[in-house]
Amino acid sequence: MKSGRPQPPALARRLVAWRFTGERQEIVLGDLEEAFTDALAAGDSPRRASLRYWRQAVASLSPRRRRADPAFEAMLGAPTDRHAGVVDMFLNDFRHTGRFLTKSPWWTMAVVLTIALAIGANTVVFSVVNAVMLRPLPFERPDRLVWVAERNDRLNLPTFAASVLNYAGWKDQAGSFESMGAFGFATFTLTTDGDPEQFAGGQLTPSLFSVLGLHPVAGRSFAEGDDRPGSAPVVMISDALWRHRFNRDPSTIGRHVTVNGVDVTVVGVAPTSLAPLSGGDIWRPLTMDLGREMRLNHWILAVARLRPGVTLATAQTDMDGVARNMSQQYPELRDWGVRLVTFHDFFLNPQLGTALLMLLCAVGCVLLIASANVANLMLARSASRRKEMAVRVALGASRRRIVRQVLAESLVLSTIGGATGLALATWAIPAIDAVLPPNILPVSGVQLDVTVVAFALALSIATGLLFGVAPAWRAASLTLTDVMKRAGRGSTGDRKRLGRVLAATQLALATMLLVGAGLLTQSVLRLQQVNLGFEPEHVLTFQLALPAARYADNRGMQFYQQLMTSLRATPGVSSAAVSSGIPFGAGNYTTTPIATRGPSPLPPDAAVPTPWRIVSPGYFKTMRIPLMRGREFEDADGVPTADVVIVSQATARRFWGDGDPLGRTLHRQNDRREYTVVGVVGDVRHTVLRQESPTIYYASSLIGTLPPMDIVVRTDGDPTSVLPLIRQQVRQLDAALPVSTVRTMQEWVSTNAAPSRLNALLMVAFAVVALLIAAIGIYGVLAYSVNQRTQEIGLRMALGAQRRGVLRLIINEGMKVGALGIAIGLVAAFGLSRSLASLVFGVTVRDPWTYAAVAATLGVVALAACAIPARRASRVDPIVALRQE
Amino acid sequence: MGRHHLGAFEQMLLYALVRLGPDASGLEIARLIEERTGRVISPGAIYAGLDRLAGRKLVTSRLGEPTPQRGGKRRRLYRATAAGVARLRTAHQALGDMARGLQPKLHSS
Repeated sequence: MKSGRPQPPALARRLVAWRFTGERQEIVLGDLEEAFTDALAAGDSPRRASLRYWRQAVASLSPRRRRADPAFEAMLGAPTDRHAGVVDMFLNDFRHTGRFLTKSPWWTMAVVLTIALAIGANTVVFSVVNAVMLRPLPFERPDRLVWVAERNDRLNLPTFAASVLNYAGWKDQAGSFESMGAFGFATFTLTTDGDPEQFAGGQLTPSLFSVLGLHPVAGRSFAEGDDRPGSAPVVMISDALWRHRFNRDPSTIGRHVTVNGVDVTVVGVAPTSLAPLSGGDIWRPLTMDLGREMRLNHWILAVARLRPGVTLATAQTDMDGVARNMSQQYPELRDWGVRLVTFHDFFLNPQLGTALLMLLCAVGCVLLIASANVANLMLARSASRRKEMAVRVALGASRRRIVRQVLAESLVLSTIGGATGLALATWAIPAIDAVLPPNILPVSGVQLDVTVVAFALALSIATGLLFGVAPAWRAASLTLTDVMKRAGRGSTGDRKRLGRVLAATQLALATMLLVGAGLLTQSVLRLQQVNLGFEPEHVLTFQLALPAARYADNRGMQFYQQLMTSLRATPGVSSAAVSSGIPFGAGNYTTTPIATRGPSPLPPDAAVPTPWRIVSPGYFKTMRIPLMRGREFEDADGVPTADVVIVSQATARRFWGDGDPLGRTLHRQNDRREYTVVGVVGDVRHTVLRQESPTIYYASSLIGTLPPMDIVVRTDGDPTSVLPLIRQQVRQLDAALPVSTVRTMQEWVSTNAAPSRLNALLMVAFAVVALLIAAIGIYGVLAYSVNQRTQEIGLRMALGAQRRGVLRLIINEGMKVGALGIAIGLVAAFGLSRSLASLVFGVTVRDPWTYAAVAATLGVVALAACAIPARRASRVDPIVALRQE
Repeated sequence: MGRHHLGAFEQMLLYALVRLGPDASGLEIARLIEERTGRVISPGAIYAGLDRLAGRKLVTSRLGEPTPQRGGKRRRLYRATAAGVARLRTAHQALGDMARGLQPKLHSS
């Protein structure tokens, strides 16, 4: 094949080849290819030429009413067109189907709507799965990219951020990597035209763009040398920032702006594909000042591209060796190793994956239930067409022909339903994308792409076959004598059995969904009741980032002290404090290896990475974190000699067991400076609602401040009402300082619970839909049965049966099916429950109460569904019923 | 439909063959019809029509040589036979006779 030259669409070519044989095939293919080549030569785009090819190929499929002269066909020897008969037959089937479906439009609409809802829901969930799990990451050859993480098995840290010194070491020694890059998180205050605003962003090594295969949208990315200490300061900005702040003005490149109080040059605009890795709007080079870095200060993430031909396992072995060498050289690296993580695993957190798969299974169940229901509707429908079918068989229609006819009907139904569902999804996907809480997905932009459309299409066809098989099989097994013998009279046994099996299946699936929904709902309720360790009510939070250029030394400290004084004097404010990172907030999540001396359950000299926060006096009071022992920080701790620290209960337990923590000392691994514990406070959930994190609190007066800092303000009334006053206070102290990320503490907590809430909400929605369809299913089976047995019931009543007896008879019949379905569903749910373990909280996945409640709910619903036909049966007038004979 | 009747589409094919002269390919015929009438005809329909005409000995055909722009495939080259041209002439005349004098009426509505 000549490369480079556009080829005709292969699939269309195959279609034509399928349609024609022999010489005709060659000539038609030749014509189409010639037309294609000519169109290209005439300057048409390959797309246009392909489109025309496709049109012609599809047009060639249509069968001809008038065939060639038989004499001529005989002369040619073999028929020139194959499959014309097949195409003809299918068209015939579909014409027939059209008539059949338009005859009872309400029935058709009910079926189409059922399928549309089920396929629509499936398509929507799949579009999210596709975006998160299937669509390739926006990097070049993402399968060759790895996250180079540190690990420490002793401390149970399977993956951890890297230190700059270790990164530099790996970069020198690693043989398996083609290239390596790294990035860290950072926040920036951008000042253009006197208006300060705070942005998230990062610090990137100049190599990062080439490692990932990314290219700047405008300008250049960072170059080697930009990262050298003392080089001219440069930044890159995001496309969004470029658009909003600079109107996409090309002259932005090269422009000087003020970032963190320093004059810097904008050198380029980063593509949005950087966002999954390092989100935000401003990036600066990651300055490698090796002399000032600490070996155990883990704050950057290193990524690497594997050399061609190198497998992950080989690279891991190689890096194990590198890590061993380095720990021999630097004793503090003992216990630390390297773990390579594929980008796929890096981006997909297992909990999100489980949640998505669960939702996909749930909507799959809804689709199965809907299919079973439609199959039932088709069966009921076919009962009234048995004569038609039997006559056709008697007139010589083959079994295959009948099966095909019925399958064509279900395929047409499912395709129309699928198309409607796809239309629903097209409308719903952007809506959902807009209302999804931010940051719930690791990717941006859930959308309808080819994969999603193909999925919906395949699903429609599969659904059609699924609910068409039972009716088709039934229709084909009819014989004329069968039908005639039972003329006018009721159902055959296996039609009823089939209907019951389908109804029971629906109930079983609905039971499983309800169990899942019940467990997740309980988890959400428990999460809301979790003891956070602080009281989020009436607390307003915001961030300030003091530019280092204007707040050198301890001037930042002084600023916050002044701010606190004026905030505390503000009417409506009961207390205020500063922290380097509030729970669930957007502040600094800092962790450093900490060691202690003296008696400890830990091995001697072990350093445990422990989260730490800088807090001002009054923090614990403002957050209402209980003080268990000792004392809080006081303003007097500002004197640099008092090296004091407050620890959480869990930290105290980890370092000193049951011993008295007060008066004990801690030190950072590389730092000989000892901190004395003066207080113990309650444990706080910092990052996830599911677990508390042991934390060390340093006095802000001792450590200084970080950019940004979180300010927490406890108010007497509605926290947002004091915001204008707060802004005014900040402005009075520093007019160029933006007040950013304003939230109430409750908003932070609720954002964190959003994914669980969303899971539960969706599960409940699917379960309710499933329950409804299943209820309609059991109702339909029973209503049909009552209809068929009208005469029998009339006879019974004529012979003296009571209305109550008839009522019981019918309800018994329905509830037998119901009980069977529910029982099977409970057993299946019990079996599958383990897979939900990572998503539930505060309740076991085999919680007997949930199962009991689900069984009871379904029992009631099934009973209600049985009651209507049963009532109708009990109202049968024996005279009328018997006269029908 | 009588054995001697020429359908409108068959007439169109014959007109195209007369205009194109001997050794016209199916593709050329389709293009000509599209150019003159705006109707896009699928290859399947063109060849089916030509088959019918060939069966009535109104056209003949032979296989041509393979060419690179056809991906090395041959083409079948058609020409109208004398009988075909005569039949077209009759049909043309019949239509002309029917249409004569109707110009004002046809264009007035």
